[in-house]
Amino acid sequence: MMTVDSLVSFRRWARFGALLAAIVVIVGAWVRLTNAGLGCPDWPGCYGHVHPAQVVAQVDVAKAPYAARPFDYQKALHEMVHRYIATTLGLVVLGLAVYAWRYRRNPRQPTAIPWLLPWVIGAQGALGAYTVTLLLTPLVVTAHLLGGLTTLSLLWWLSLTPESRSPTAAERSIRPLALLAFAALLAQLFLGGWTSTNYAAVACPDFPTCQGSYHPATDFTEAFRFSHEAGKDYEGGVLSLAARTAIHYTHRIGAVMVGLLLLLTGLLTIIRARSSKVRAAGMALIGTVTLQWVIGMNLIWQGFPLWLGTSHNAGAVLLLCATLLVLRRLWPARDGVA
Amino acid sequence: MTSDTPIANPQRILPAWRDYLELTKPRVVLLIVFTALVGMFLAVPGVPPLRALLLGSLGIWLAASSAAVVNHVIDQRIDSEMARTRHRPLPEGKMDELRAVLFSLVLGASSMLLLTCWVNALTALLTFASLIGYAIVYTLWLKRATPQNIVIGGAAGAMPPVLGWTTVTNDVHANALLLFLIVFAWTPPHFWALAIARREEYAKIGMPMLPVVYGVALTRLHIVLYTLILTIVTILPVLTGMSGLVYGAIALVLDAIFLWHVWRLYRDGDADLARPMRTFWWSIAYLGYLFGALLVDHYASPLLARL
Repeated sequence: MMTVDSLVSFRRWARFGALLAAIVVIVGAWVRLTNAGLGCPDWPGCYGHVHPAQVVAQVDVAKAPYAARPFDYQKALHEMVHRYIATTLGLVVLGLAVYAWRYRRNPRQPTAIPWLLPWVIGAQGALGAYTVTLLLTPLVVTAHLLGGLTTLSLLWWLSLTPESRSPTAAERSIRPLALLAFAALLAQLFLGGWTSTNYAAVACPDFPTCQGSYHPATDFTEAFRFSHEAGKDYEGGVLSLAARTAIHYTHRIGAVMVGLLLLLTGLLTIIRARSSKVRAAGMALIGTVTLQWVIGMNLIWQGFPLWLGTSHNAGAVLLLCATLLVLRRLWPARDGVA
Repeated sequence: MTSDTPIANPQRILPAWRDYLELTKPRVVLLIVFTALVGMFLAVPGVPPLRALLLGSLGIWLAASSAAVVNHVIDQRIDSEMARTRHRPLPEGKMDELRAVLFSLVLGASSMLLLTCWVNALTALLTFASLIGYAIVYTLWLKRATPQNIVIGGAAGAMPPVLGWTTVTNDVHANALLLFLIVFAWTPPHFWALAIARREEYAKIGMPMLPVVYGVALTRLHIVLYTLILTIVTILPVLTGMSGLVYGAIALVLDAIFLWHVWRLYRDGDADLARPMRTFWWSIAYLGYLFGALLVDHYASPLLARL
């Protein structure tokens, strides 16, 4: 009985961690969209302090790196709130790793992911530092987003109770498509991050056309150049309009194709499901794809308001979780191993 | 295994990637790379350059993996005679010697190439020396020559934080040597706890480990004395000002637990057969926590000082 209880409690903590990770990701997007990413030019403190309220404007700001950037209390607060919640998440993840170590002799206790997570979180902390010191280099900021989504995915996966029955042949037949759709979603998540970090959303202020045309001027070579210049400030974006248009347009085409792939996966899952749990996962997937489409289009039509931009990130979080839910339902646990 | 996975063919031509991975001792190497990473972060205020961090840890990872593979190749005969190591890929025949040697050469060469071309020559040179020190001097010679094998050989295992440091600064700072000293002082109590637990197997294969040659009682005393040295050494970072009180407080707690473990080992003798292994596992956790504390302190202490 003990071992069953330990697993239930482990999953509950993982669920809490997943929720916290989702909050960290969404708050991270909000920090970015309020241009608060460089609200604190140093790391891990803010102008050398734990809380921005401690910053003495004249004294601390003068000796901070990039002193040219004026101190903005609101921006600094946004950035630090993100760091506080992320630190809390780090403690939860460490707790899960210790928990997995304690119950490692239980064959149903997952150990690989709980022991991997502290490394992911550590890397995320470092990437968070580099987003600041490398002045919002797009590749680093996008990697920071993807790292956050990785953390969330791993915690979410741990929190899901695998089904004990093995899937039917009809259910198994969806697996290749589901994997393909998942891979496509990962690419689309990268493109979304790339659009945001290059400030490419505003390059196309209309939908479905872009700059009033279906064939806007694009520069794909510049759009996907992954090098960066040391010491260059990337806030506000540095690419030409044509390059930004290329990025935005790629994300848009991706949205159609990846969305259709995910819809098809969801539909097939519902049709071929032999249990209500599998069916529910398929419905969740269809629902989140639709939601993300609606948010994405409205984001453009309404002129990129902050709340919709943040919601588009939250929609991506939900979409990722729904896709993982389908995968988890199609791949029940190996016998005895959760 | 899932029901639709075919049963592995024992006559397969190429060893599976898992066998290659196992040759590199991934868990041990992970701890090694972690101590190197801490060396990198401690080398400068703030965060080290991203490039040095990525390329340096990759290079050190490759070198440590290469050394582990060489260790598997050289030790395959004695590995096959010990219960703990009998299931390794080479003694089990899942991997042949030529492939393992080539694998270690590829790993070592790519590490050297990477460190020389994109990090710095000093780091490449020191990494090479550590690799030779572990794979050849320790595994091939010291290990079979003297009961002080792991004390001297520990120098190779203590190098990674220094390598991490030089990756970032291209210079061996005194504080880097302090990190070296910590791992160096930690190795004997760590390894001798294992040697006590496995002394019969070591005796069977004629390995001159301290408990085999001079007995368990003397080994227990040595473990206590080295742990006392370790306690003193781990306080040095606070005294030199490299680390602050956050580290100091955590280190003292960790040292106290370590001392409690080795004191129980010393006092209870053979009354508690599980004690040596428990001490061994604790020593691994100890090193992870201690270096974690160094890392946290590097950022936390300056902040807390201004609260």
